[in-house]
Amino acid sequence: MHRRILREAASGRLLLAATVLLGAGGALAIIAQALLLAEIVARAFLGGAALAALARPLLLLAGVALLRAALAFLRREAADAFSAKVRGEIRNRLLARILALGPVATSGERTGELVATALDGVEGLDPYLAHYLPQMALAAIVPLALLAVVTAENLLAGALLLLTAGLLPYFMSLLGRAAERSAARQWRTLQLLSAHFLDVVRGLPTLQLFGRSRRQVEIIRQVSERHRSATLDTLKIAFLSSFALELIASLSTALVAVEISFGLLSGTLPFQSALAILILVPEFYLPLRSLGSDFHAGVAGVAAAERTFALLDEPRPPRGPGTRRLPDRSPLEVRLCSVGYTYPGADRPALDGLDLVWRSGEVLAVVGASGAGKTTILRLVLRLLEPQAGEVLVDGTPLREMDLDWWRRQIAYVPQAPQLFAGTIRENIQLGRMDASPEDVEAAARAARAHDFICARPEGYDALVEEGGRGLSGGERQRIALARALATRAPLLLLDEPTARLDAEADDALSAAIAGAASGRRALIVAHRLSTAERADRIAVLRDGRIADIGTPEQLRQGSAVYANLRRAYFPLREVD
Amino acid sequence: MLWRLLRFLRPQRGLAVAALALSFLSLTSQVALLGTSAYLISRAALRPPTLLLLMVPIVGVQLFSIARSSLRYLERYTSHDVTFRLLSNLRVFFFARIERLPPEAIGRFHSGDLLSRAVHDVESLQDLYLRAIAPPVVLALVAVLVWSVISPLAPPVGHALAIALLLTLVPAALELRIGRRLGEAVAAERAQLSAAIADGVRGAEELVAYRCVDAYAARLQATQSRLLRAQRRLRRSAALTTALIGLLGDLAVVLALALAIPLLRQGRLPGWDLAVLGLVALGSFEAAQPLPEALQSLSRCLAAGRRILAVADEAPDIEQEEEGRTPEGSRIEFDGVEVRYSGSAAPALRDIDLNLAPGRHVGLVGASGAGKTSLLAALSGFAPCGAGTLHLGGVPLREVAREKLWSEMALIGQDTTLFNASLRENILLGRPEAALDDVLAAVRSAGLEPLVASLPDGLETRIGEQGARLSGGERQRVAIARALLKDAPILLADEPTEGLDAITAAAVLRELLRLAQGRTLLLATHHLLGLEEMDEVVVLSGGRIVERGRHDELRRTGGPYARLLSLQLDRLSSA
Repeated sequence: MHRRILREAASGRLLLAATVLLGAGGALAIIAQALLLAEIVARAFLGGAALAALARPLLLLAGVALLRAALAFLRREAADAFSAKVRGEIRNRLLARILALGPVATSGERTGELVATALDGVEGLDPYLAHYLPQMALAAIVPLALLAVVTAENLLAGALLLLTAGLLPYFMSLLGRAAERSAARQWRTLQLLSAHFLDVVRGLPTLQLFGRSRRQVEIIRQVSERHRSATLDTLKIAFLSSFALELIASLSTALVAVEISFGLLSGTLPFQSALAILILVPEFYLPLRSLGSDFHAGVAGVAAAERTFALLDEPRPPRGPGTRRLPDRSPLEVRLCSVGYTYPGADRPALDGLDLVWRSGEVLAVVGASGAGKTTILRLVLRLLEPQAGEVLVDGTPLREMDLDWWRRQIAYVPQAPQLFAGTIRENIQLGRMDASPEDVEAAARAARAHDFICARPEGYDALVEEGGRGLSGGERQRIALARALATRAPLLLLDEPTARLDAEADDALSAAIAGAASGRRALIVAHRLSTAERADRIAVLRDGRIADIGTPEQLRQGSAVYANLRRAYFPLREVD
Repeated sequence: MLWRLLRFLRPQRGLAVAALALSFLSLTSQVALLGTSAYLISRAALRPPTLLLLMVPIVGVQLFSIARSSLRYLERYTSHDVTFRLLSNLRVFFFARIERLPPEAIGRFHSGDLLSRAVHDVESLQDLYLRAIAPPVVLALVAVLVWSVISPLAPPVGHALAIALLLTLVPAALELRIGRRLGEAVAAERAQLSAAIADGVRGAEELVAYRCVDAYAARLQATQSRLLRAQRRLRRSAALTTALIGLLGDLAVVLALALAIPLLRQGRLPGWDLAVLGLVALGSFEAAQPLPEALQSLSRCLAAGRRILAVADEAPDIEQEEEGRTPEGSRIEFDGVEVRYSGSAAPALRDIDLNLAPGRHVGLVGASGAGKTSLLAALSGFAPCGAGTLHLGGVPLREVAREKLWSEMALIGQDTTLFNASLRENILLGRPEAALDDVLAAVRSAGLEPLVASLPDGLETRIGEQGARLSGGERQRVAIARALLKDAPILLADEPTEGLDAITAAAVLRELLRLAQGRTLLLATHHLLGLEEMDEVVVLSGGRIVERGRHDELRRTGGPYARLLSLQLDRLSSA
């Protein structure tokens, strides 16, 4: 996992190097500060120097303070720039990936999860990138530099530091493992306990209806108490590792102090060096201590980012490099030959050996119970999905050999729940043909029976569409999407009629718009309304992923039991009884 | 505001003071460790005639070094203890309050998802002690200590250090103001990006079909760049504050030396104290490090506290005696009832007249937003009744004791609330004292047996957060089983078959009708499902009753109901 993140972060390596360099510069500033401080104190204390004589080192010390602050600021700037760059790149690739995943991956309830992954999952990498990664380098560099300075001043003090620092990782891993085991044990309990309060508050009306709410107060108290003692048990051990770190750091400060005071007594160590060592010793452990705390934040984020990488690594749907185009005014007869398709994770196929011909010039309606595979047919024709068995042919040419861009330009598509994007109504209608003129847009809107309600708004076609099309009714959204399809002037129309009930008026308006759009056009319509289906040239009845019956509305009305079943009035209660 | 929040700490004040003291003492030990070490080497540098003179500081450094880390450990443990106790107090207080809210207010908060947000706020208030209050208090204590120890030795140095320590509050406070503005900008950009991604995910099919994927990806990239820029501005101000506080500490050391050296020369300060002063100055500024974060936590806590108390303050402060009246029987009378939610211009219901004898079955139909749910909510007390009167069993609804009111009715809603507990416990909610046999009977009658058989631990299986393991039909059946156990005379069913396929819908409806025998039933539906079984159908539109009668009559009259029916008939039975 860490290697993976490093690979992703490669493009920001200059910024990372800058961060580390600035951090190392900061360490040098600390050394300079310690040496200056020691010099000033030594000269005033033992040399009896006056303030005026010390003005230069004092000013220098102030200068070093400024430099140190500047370096600290720039280091964080560089770290943030690094993190922002890497996160930005990962997120951009992830977003491109998500958009390309297509209808299978992005249908239904995955929306929330995908948005969370792209936002919070990537954001979770920030502590790792901005803090942990540079700190890891600094934890190796800075103590070494300090060690070199201390050793140069006094060999024994250096040896003491080296010894304690050698012990640190051992203690850390020992305690870390113990804490991990205990934390894993507690984790599930903690999760359950901490979810309890939210659960109860959300369910308050239900609890009240059943007269159960009052006694929850006592239960909340008890659960919180259990949560507290369980968490503290975990923390008791988790805190031990930082305790060990701090104990070693402060004990060795004390040891070094005693050691150098003996050096001073014996006259082998000048006071100035001794003081400098004393100031530098705590700094020696600081990077290791910060690494400890950054580690936890970093690891939590990395765990959250796993979903991100899993998504990035999902195999792309294979796309044949088709190049074939058909001449203008080709009949564009679409033939599905023994086509099979099973959605990932589904227990039965959506389409199973389906044969269907959508003839040139006809309006073909597909009907069937939900889950019969109707929408899948549209997706196969659009090549949003590849058939797993059989083949889709256009005028005898396999679809996968065709230039996909060219093919999709022949098609206008209205899915069952069309999406409007942030922008104006006009931009939304122009989605399929960016260069559509205002007249074209208006003509399409009129044909989709959308012109009147668009003009009822003060800004008309330039009215802004809110997120997800809120502020427009379901029927209005549908008709804008229909206008969008009609504006493309593509010869083929694929339309998935909405199943969701709108209010009566909107339902009628949409039906009329669909009828108008389909008449005199090539259309393949997934119909959920009887009246829509009956207006088609032919109706294909789908059952269990195959065509159960096909024919003109007249033929089916007279001779199809399957069709009769579908037409049956929607009062299942008496019939099931 | 802060005082009100601090009241929640009162039961733990002993522990809180102990944690503060530990935090202060561990910092003091750190400063003392540095100071004593400096004293030790200064005295050693003067080569005293006997080692004995150095024994006290030698013991001192050892002592302080162990004290420092041990106190820190104890401080962490104690302050987390305080934090969790505070959280527990907050939860109990908040729940006890909202439990007493008028039901109308609960309905309002519940529908706006304000309750979930309040839960989040309660949890975030746990930072109040640990992150927000303790650091500034400890800083002030350290400033006082430094002043009272150093001032007698070297007055100007003591004053200067204490002032410099307190001065660190200035950049932290500035950062708080600037950070809030920048933080809002980040939140706004984030919301935009989130919305744009959601649009793109939902519309992926169209983007592909219309060959707009690349254009949309570019748009998302631009939106993300704005977010990243806003984030960096926020971080920059935080980094600047931290650097400024560090600078203040380092300059204070320079100042302390500059002030102390003349004293040394004048003989008013022993020479060995100079190093002590320098290191004490250096060490004491460690207290200022958590400051920027502390002030931010404080402002977050205050905002969260304001929101929570706004919800809690709507509840009566003291527990009132329940002195409501008991309804006689379960006749329901709506008389010119109007329901108007705060914040919406048009009433959700108006001029509703309905008189329902016990045992009557009534269907409520109409497009979504016609007022079906509001009518049920008015009856269960969760909607605010404006004009008109609503009687239950001859008693005005608002005078009925809440427990009595709710014991009269069972609700089978669109989304059944399931708790993160076993299936049995979830069903038992209907009547907790029910025997296992009764539960099993309810399970059978509600058609839950196949579900129970399929679960790994049967009835004892935990059904997970929000009942994630159960399908829509199964959840409705749990609601029916609860209602069966509860045995209330009035059943309110709000779209009980919403989202179910036709066969499941019919089965659920059959269970419901069986349960409704001998009880009053109000069944709201826009699928017009099961209405032929009702004693009366009431058609709502725009919050008014526009038509009422039996299914067969209304079907023939060709009014609004017949229109709804014809639309329904035009559907191919695919739902």
